[in-house]
Amino acid sequence: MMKGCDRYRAATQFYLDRELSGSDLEDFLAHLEKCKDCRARLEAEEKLSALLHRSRPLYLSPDALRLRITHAAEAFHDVIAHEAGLRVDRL
Amino acid sequence: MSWRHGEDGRVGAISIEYLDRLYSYALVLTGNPAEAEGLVEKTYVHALRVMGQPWPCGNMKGWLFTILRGAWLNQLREPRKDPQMAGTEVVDGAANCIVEPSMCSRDIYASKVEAEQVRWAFHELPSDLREIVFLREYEDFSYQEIACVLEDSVVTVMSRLARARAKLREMLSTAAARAIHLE
Ligand SMILES: [Zn+2]
Repeated sequence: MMKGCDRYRAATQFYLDRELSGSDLEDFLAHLEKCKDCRARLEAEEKLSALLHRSRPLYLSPDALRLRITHAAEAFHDVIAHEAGLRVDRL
Repeated sequence: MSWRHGEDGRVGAISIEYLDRLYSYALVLTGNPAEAEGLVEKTYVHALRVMGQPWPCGNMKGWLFTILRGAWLNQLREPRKDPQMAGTEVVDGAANCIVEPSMCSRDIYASKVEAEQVRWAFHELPSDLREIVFLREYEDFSYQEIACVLEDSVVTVMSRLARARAKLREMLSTAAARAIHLE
């Protein structure tokens, strides 16, 4: 392991999560070029992430729920439209 | 259903685009399909009621997730009306071939086993770690957005995520080692 690798432990996660930018990103990429251990750590992290992504989506909502939500929203919008209409009438 | 943005980034109609995601989040939090459905309904009812208010977490998705989490926390504080059903079957939407029909023909066995192992490890995580992995890896929220939904600091988000990933890797490598041993 190279000197100062600990400093890049958190950076590996930030990089993976696209939270690294500017000089921090350049610094990390430059270190990766030189350091086998940090590359291996990043690869392991990327592998896990890819595994999780391949198991997406976790769940699908039941059709009955979709229907209930759609109806509730439509009914709500009808009420709003009706109230808006009443307000216009009164003017 | 449509959704209209006002000039100030507010919304005039609620989209059901995020229904599956909200339902998944509710299942991750409760582990119970019936409770999850109830939470999603509460979320939409609440969202419709406060429609037009600014979104606290930057976008509609974050806002809906925040509402759902708030409803869940409220529910935890309420005394339970009915006894919790132990070992309720958690519905696995992706295990069948509805989601991605191409997966059914292409090396289905290997990918199914792999996905099942990942889901098993995910469900074995302690609930706070499971939630953070869900928000980051399944929902692609940024650290800032996760911190907003959880009403916690970005530092907490980062350290919890690191712990969750370490735990997942550990569980998956143990599972893989066991599989090799059984072959
Ligand atoms: Zn290094």
